[in-house]
Amino acid sequence: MTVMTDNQANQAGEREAVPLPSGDRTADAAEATDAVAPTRTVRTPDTAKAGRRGSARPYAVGGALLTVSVLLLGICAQLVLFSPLQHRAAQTAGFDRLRGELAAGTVAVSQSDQSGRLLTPGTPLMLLEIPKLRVREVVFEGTSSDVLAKGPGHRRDTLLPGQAGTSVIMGRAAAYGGPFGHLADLTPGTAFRITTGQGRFTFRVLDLRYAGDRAPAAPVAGKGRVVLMTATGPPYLPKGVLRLDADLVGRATDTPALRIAPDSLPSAELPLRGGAVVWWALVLWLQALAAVSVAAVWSWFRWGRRQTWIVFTGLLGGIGLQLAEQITRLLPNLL
Amino acid sequence: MRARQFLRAAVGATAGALAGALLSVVVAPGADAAPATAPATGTATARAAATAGSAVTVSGRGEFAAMRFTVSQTEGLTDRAVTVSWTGGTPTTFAGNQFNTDFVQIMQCWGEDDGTHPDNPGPPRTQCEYGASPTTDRSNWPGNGDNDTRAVVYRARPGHYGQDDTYGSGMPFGLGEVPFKSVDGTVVTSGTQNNRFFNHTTTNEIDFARTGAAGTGSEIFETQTLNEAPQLGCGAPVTHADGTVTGRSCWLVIVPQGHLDLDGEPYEDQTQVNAGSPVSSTNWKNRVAVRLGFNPVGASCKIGAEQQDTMGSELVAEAMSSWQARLCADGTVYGFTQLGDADTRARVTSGAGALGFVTRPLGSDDGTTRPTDTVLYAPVALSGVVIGFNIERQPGSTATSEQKALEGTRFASMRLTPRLIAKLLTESYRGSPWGAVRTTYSDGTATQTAAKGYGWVLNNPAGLLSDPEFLALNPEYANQSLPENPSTDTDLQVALGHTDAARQLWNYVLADKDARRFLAGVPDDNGMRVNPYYSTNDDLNPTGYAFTAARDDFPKADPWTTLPPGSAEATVKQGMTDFHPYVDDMLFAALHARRGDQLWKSSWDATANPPVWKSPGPQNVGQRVQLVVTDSASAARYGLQTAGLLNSGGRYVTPTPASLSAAAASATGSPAVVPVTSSRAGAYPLAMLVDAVVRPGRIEAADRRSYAALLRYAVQAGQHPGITLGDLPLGYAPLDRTLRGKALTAAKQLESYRGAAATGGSTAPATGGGTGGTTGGAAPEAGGGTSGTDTGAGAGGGTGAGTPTGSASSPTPSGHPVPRRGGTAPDLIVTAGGLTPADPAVPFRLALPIGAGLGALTGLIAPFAAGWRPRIPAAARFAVPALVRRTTRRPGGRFRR
Repeated sequence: MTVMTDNQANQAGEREAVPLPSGDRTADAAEATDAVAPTRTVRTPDTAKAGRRGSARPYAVGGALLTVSVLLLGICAQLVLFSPLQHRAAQTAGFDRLRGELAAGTVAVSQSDQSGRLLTPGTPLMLLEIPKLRVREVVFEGTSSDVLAKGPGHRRDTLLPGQAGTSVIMGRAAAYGGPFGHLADLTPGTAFRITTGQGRFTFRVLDLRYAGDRAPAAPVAGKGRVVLMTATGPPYLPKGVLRLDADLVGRATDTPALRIAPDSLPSAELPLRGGAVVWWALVLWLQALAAVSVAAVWSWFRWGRRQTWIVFTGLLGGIGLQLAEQITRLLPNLL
Repeated sequence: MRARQFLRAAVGATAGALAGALLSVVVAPGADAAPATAPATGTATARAAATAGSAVTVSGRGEFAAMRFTVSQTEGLTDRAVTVSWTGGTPTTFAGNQFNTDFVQIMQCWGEDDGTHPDNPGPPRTQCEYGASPTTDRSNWPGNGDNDTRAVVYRARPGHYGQDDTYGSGMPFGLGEVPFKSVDGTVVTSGTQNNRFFNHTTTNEIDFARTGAAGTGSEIFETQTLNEAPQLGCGAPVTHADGTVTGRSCWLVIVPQGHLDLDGEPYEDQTQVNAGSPVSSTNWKNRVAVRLGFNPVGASCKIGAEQQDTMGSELVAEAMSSWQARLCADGTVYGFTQLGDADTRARVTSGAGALGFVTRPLGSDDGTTRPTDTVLYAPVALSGVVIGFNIERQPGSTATSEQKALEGTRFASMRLTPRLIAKLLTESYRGSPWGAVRTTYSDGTATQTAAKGYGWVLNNPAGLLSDPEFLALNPEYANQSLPENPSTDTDLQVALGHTDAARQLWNYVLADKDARRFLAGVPDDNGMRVNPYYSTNDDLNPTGYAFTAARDDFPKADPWTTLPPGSAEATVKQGMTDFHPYVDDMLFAALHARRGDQLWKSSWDATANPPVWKSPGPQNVGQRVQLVVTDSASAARYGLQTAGLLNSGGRYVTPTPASLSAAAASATGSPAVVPVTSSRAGAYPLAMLVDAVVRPGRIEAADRRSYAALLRYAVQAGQHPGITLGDLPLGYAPLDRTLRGKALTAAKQLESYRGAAATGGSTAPATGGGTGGTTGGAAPEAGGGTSGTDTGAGAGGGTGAGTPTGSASSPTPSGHPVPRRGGTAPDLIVTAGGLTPADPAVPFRLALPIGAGLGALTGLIAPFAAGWRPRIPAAARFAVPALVRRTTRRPGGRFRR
């Protein structure tokens, strides 16, 4: 409370120092009046409550609530409005890299690279084209929620499509472009293509499958299958896992050994799990937000409003976006 | 300082964040891949199955000259079933329930040709196993006491069938018996019906075989070796001059009974059944004998020879006994101990230095882990679990004339769905908890009352054959009238113990949605409910706990006990294990079904001390109803009819070598486990692939070579289907080339195993094909090999990422990881029967709507919290002028700058 009082006092003092634009003058004057009003107003029954705990309390509470509100709405807006843009940007970058590597013939075709190291999650691996859904997506290695923010992800403990066995690709249903949002519209028999470093493969949809349904028999030796997974339920309200089985048309190609055994994936890469959040990053971004906000306030009064807008809009926006992204990583990865 | 400004700035900052559209940049290091080579997969070419061609056809004599009898197999016999069929007969007639004229009697005899019929050599009649029918104690047995026993009437010059010119001469009225002479020389002259050598539960005689309207008939006959019938000594090893060993041969004797008397005229007194004993001298003249060649029993292996122990699944027992006899010639005796599969795995895991036969990988049982050293799996046999049946037609009053014409003949086929099997396994038919429903009659109306807690059973059909679901599937079984009690069609006879075969059957049931729903308590279309003690719904289950159906045994979960109705003086209650006793194993199940043994001890013997329940003996001829769970080899051995089961492709498939092979083509993992959900056309859903499992690190080099020789034999010469020792017994499907190649590779690895080379980090421990139980146990190892090469980049990428754990199917000592083919991630197919796993719990599922709602709410109440009040009537404004003045400007002024 004492801090608040100081604050108001300073603010009141600053008013003289910084001339205000005329449009704001009345408001600010009123604000100044308000700010100091409780301290000098005769207490009426209506203001008694506020006055009991110190005059600045209503503003603190209101401001805190408003901050929470803006943060929450900001995160939601990031998820709904800006995540498709982020996804599109990641796709563009991923496609550029994949195109180059495909041309050079250096795209990874197993779980490890040439020197035997496991692929870094997020490495672009293949191009998935589902003409019927107008989906043309670069598929990245890994299925944690940060990889799935870039596009569909290849589950790391399965083979690549086109190889003999079952491969799994997971994708988001709504957020970040929702590349697999309309997976349920695919009918059995629909064909789609996947281009990996081993060539272009056509798959034919067997059927959709929900929890408890009987799974198709495992592919026979020499045949491949890809399982596309996304979330069921209304957009942004994931309920379960939708699986789409599709069999490889034709024979499978060379199949390398699996290096990541099934069961050994971290839980963040399993379907509908969140938690790929890096806590120290979140904390650092929060600190950055706090620091830049303080700087913005300082600049508002000491430097100038115009300058503050120019400098801090982008800065705060960027930090806010990063923060929102960190927080959305907590949410289910197929969201 | 300046919290308000900070606050304002923070608001501005977050608002700015909305406006700023900074895009994250994709950064990922380059990654190139080295495609590994994949071994070529061979095309499965199943070896053509060779069948035994030792069938023999012989003609009758005299009045039966038109009859032709065919015995399906006369060489290479063991204790198994052969089919005896005939044509050219006269249809059987009946007197009441008794066989009257024109039927056929079949028995097995020992000895040399007695020279009475040069054109049809055969044994003397005293050396035949015949006459042990249960006719004395049973009024409804279809014999007259003469034609199903050895009783004869002495006449020096016989004038009628059933009279004898040799035996009974000194007896009152000439009533005598034809003696029985055992192979050891002992002669039984009296009391032959229940003698020291055989009785009605051990004999294989067929007293009554009927000839159908077309003059044809067919019967399935069990040929007994000296193990089952020491008094006959069939198959006793005989060493010839050249050193070869053969089994002592025996005879199959068929005695036809006609409608004419000895003088060629119809019987004088046709008010009774005139047929006499087939072993009487008069009937014996018509006998038709067929020589039976037996495989030598038990003496192929020298006592004291080097012995290698093997153990494991019953599914391979039949094949092992055949291979073992052949391999003895090479000097090694491969002993085989039949064990439960889980037990076998536990013994191999705990370090028993023997080869085991299993159908699932080590570590797949709950609470077990696979060993960390090298484990080799080699497929050796393809068998399957089958539902065998022996059901004879008993048309009721509503039956059509066609159905009535077939009375007493066996049903040849049956279709079953997983739900029908679930009904049988869960003792859900009304006749199963025997006595739980009692019928009381008052004023001519029958009232059924259920015992306490058994109200569910009232609306259930009494047995399988009256279940509308079954009849819709099997219209042939309509209009049958038979007692549906625990000894007939109310459940499946099952073997005791924990077996993968049982697990496979439960998995098959669980893979079906209807069956799962039924187990959970949902009634079927006709209102039939599951026995609640077997319900997988813990609300329904009287024990309070859900029944776990994913299991490897057949529990009798229902604690029902009662004094069975109709046994007033009985003092000992019977429970479900009395009504539905276990059999020892699947081979016995098949044998009991073939013989028509009633396992339920249903007759109270008050004269015994202490009084006990006793078995009434085999089911009546023409009224046998047997349903068992057995394996395809045992069913083939005893000629059991097998049910067609609904597979995932929607077809009803019976177990044949072709359907077993079709299913095995869908097997995945190492060792390959055949899924119950193979949707290939013609795939039998309960096919099972038996793998030899061995840990070379635990075995001496000499033993490894010895086991490798066994594996090589098993998948090479041992895959040739046939009836001679060393062949693949009938009922198995030969392995295809891929599987045989796998076994040969394993044999080679076993032989060339070097312990030292395998202890390094290069050898990956073998693991299962992603089946349930391995997951928990394997986890601790995942982190063990995290090497420096693992970059571990990315969120949570460190755990187990760089560890080549447990993926090799058959780890090679040289350190080349064997590609894991068709790897199945656990949450793709993890549950029994290949079901899609249940949805996981979704964290923060409602995050977005709650976040947005909360944001909007706090946004709305923030001005109020800051003291803003909406405009209210003027009076109030005048009362609080300062406040009003403040609030009218605040929303615009303070927060929307």
